Amino acid sequence: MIIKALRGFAPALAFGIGGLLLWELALLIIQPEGFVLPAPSAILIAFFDDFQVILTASKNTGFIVVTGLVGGVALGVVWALLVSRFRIANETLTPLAISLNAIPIIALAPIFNAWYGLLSPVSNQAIVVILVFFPVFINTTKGLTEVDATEIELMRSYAASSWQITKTVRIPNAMPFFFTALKIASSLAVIGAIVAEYFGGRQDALGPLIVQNAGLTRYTEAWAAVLAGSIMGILLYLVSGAFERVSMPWRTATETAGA
Amino acid sequence: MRLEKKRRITRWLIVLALFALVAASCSSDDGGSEDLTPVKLQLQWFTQAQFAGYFAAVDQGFYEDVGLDVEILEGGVDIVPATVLDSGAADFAISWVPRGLVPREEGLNITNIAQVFQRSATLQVSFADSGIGGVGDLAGRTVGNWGFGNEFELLAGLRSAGLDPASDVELVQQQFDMLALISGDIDAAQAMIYNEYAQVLETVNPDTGELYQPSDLSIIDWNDVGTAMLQDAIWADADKLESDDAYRETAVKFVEASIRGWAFCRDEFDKCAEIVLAAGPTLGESHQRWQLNEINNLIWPSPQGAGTMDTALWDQTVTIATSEGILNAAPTDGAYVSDIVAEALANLTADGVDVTGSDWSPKTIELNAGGE
Amino acid sequence: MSDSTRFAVAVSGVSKVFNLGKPNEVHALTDIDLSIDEGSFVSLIGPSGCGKSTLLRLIAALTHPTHGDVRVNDKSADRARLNRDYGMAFQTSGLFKWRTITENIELPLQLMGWSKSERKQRAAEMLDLVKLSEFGDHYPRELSGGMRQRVAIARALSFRPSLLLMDEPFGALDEMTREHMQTELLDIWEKTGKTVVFVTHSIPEAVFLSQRVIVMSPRPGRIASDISVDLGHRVFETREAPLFFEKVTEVREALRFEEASA
Repeated sequence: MIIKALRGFAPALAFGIGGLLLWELALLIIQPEGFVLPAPSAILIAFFDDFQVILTASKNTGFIVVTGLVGGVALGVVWALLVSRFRIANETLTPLAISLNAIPIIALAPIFNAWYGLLSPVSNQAIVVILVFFPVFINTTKGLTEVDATEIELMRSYAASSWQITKTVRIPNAMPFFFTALKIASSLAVIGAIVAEYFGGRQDALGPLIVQNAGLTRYTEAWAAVLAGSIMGILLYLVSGAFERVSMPWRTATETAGA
Repeated sequence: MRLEKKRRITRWLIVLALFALVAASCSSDDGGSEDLTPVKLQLQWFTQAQFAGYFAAVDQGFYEDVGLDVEILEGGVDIVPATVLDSGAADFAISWVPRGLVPREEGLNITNIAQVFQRSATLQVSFADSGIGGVGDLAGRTVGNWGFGNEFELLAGLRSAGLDPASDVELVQQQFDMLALISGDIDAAQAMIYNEYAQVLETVNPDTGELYQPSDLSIIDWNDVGTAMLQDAIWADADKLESDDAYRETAVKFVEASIRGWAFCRDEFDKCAEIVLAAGPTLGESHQRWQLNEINNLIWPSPQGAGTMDTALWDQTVTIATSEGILNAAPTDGAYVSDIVAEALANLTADGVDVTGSDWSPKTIELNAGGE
Repeated sequence: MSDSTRFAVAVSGVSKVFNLGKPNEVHALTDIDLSIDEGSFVSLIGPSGCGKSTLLRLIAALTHPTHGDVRVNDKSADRARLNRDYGMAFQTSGLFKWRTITENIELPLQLMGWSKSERKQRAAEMLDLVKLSEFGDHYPRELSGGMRQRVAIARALSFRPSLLLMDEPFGALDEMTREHMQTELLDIWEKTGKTVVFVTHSIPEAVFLSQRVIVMSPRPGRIASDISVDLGHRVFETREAPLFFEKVTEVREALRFEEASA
């Protein structure tokens, strides 16, 4: 099974390594004046040189990312459940969600800093929550409401209550939609946390690390911090994927057997 | 039919000829500015009295007198003057010394051609009742700083007091304002004496209903602590200086006219303040006047002539930079050059301009709420 | 009419209008009177718009008549629904793709609060009935259309309702599978003695399966003819018997009402 999994990764791995080699070679050959895009080897070296600093920063940023992600997902799911069940909720909460989503982070970040305090993690977590909840909300709502009409009629023929219908039909139906949103949300969470950090707070986090190194033209170090952020995003994506596979075993079942 | 076609061609030829004539006459209208060399100056920050000398030199025609047509590019949070200079998007740039040395080590070949500010203007400001009298008192407190290369004096200062910046204080990323200090979020805030420090003094103290007074605040001056680093200097493209004689000539003229502008701001304070205000800074009149006064205090008196490098301070700057790990090694030769500013000063002195400002003394400026 | 003959389904004076009073008003059914004996197999057949599906849904209390009365097992249709007196099968099997076959069959039992062991046992029985015992742990996507419909029927019967309502359950299947399923359904019907109301588009299917074919006409939907089909115990060869073809013709003729009316 492990070999099978590895074989599944093989094309992606080959593509990735190939791309990196190409990048390295291109820089060797072209030798551009600008160092804005350093060679992968230089980035890796900087990554390991600054490893302690990057690790601490990643932990701090990661804490915001994970807590914000959990909060945003919870909020999005609850919101979706309310909206799919109560028409009043749909008429009030959906426009509210859309408006909140439309506010640019750049406007919210200083406001949250003022409300919750510069040093409080809440100001950054709030940014992540706002970014994350919208895709989760929209997708989960869709999954909860776009149910096969036959399945609903069937449930009604069983005299099932509204809650029973939600529990046995709508929620399982919504799961693929939910996991799609979760994958999107996990990258958004990383971006949100890092951008929120630009607006003040602790300095031993990925956001300041990236921005400050870039400001000092230390691009290799900046990219090394970016690399850490990417790794974080990828890990979250993989974890989401694992959750998905575990929660939806029917997806991996093979198609149509005999007659 | 053939006559029709001929007429049409003739008509088009006439139109073309007229067009060419107009185009030719248009370009020859630039007869005057053809003689001036276009120069772009990249500032390190937004328009304010910190750069008064350059604005004054434009306004008073000093640059024009030496044959330069100078365009001033405003700086900002994300603008790195060193990269703008190196890319050729600007001919000269204003930058603090460490923020010029780091890119230089990364491969941008730039050089310091005039050290305009003789002293550091960075302070760490706290409220007088916070109990922070000296660097040692920062232990265990929340200490704000802007990062981006502005924090090195602080870090070196902490170390000089035996504190480990990573564990003995809580370093906080501060916005470019004093709100965090005033709201109590941080115990000590980074401030430039000519800018953010004044912002506190322009704020109403809720307890008294009056503006905060200097007596309400306690400051740590890195010049006194001994970990000050050199700040505003004029930087040029080193490769170009080497290869392009015209560029070098322009550099001398630029430095000359700029120093003349700074001298103007020293001697004609009110007029200079008006020039700055006309350039459209964000903060108001009393704030810019305060700032201009403090900037003058950083430049004057300049016993060896404005723009001359203080080698002792340069060495201190380099020592701190290397020991803080900002630079991997001491900068190679050519990080700063003295010949250009020496030439400029000679020209100015010959012209009767006072380049030392030995008679100058700071004014007392009254601040209004909000800096208006 | 003797009281002792309790009708499984009694529809009296029923009409159904959709969007009453609005511009898109539709008279789906008018003046429907229909009584169905317990244990009988009745088909409803007719062209699109004749209201056969609507009539089935009225019996299921999934919708309600504008006029008239629907009684199932001597109660109101709503009460019958709440009492789970009937099981229903649709053209699409409506199996939940996230549940295994067994779990799908257990669905109504779960909703009705049966214990885990009771559910498991009944599900196994039903799988046996439709001859799909080895597929209990598979997911619907792994089964063919015909197999899924068998599971749907098993599910409909799992809680032993006395009435089975079916809305073109074999409509999406190919001819061979269809005939096979018809035989299976008759088998189950004979074994369990349920009352079956079966909506279909297919004349041969209606004739083969039922003892009574209700022909309905559209615009507005009403019952045009009530044809009894006396073919006795149906076997594969029944489809080739002369009486079968006679009945098919009779039904076909009954469906030609556009020309019948002047």
